[in-house]
Amino acid sequence: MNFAQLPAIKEWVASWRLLAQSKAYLVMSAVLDALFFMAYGFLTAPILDKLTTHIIIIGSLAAEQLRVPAGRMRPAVIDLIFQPPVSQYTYQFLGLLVLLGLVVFVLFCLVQGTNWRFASWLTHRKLGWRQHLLQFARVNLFWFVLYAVWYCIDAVLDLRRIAIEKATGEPSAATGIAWTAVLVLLVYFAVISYPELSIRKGFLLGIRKATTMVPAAIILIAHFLAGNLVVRLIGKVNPAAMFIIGVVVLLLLIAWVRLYITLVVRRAAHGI
Amino acid sequence: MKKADVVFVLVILLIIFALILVVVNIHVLFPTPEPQAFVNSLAPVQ
Repeated sequence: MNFAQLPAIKEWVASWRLLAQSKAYLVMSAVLDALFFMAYGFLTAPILDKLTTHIIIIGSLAAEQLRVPAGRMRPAVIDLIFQPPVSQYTYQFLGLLVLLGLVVFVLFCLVQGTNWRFASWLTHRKLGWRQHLLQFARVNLFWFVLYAVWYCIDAVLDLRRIAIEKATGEPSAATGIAWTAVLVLLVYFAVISYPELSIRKGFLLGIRKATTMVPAAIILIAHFLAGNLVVRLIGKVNPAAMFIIGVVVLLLLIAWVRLYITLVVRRAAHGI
Repeated sequence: MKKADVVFVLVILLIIFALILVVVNIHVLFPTPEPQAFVNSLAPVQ
């Protein structure tokens, strides 16, 4: 088997070559990604802080309600959190989740949509900024709703675990690796759908062209692991250099990832 | 630049401004009790 002929390897070479030729893209992508991370931190930190406070309050109040005299049946946690005095914080918690989703959605669509448009522009698709952003938002709406469902179930599982732990004083089983695998699959199909801006193609390519997409995903993950390893090793010598080089490596890899995925998906999309 | 593009940019700016306003005033919109007051309100553990 000639590995150099594999589509994932061919496009790997092509993507690095394209990145080296497109310095303007690299700079714009890095600037926008840095801006994205800063804005993300600034806007989501207060919401995440409030969410944590709410989880603690809801968990404590629910645990208090769960402490029933011996012989009486314990109420279900899910019923408890929608009854006073816990319900007011549960509704606030849900409101905060919606707000968090909205903030991340707007920020992600605006900045990442623009960056994906640059990558598409360099490779094949010549859509205008507004059209690209609107289509990117439409595709992401679907993925964000799925992610919101995943996140809500995860949060309820967490709440249940905290309440049971507080009531019984014993550690409860963690959510588990299967639930994380669902999220990984979600991200896999979502990322594949970005270059063609089509959810249907995302699923089709992700399943039918798995022999191309999975090796590409492995190559992609290997790059981030290698980058992480290099940055950690630098950190052992010089912590300040670790931060600066870490940021540069991260921004460079993100810029490359978009080009690589776009090229791999474009090649695979010809076959369906 | 087309008129639709200008409207699009203005709508985006408006959304961003509204979100920043909400996030900055999050303590007013989603009030929670003071930590000590909350702990005191809980029944003592038997």
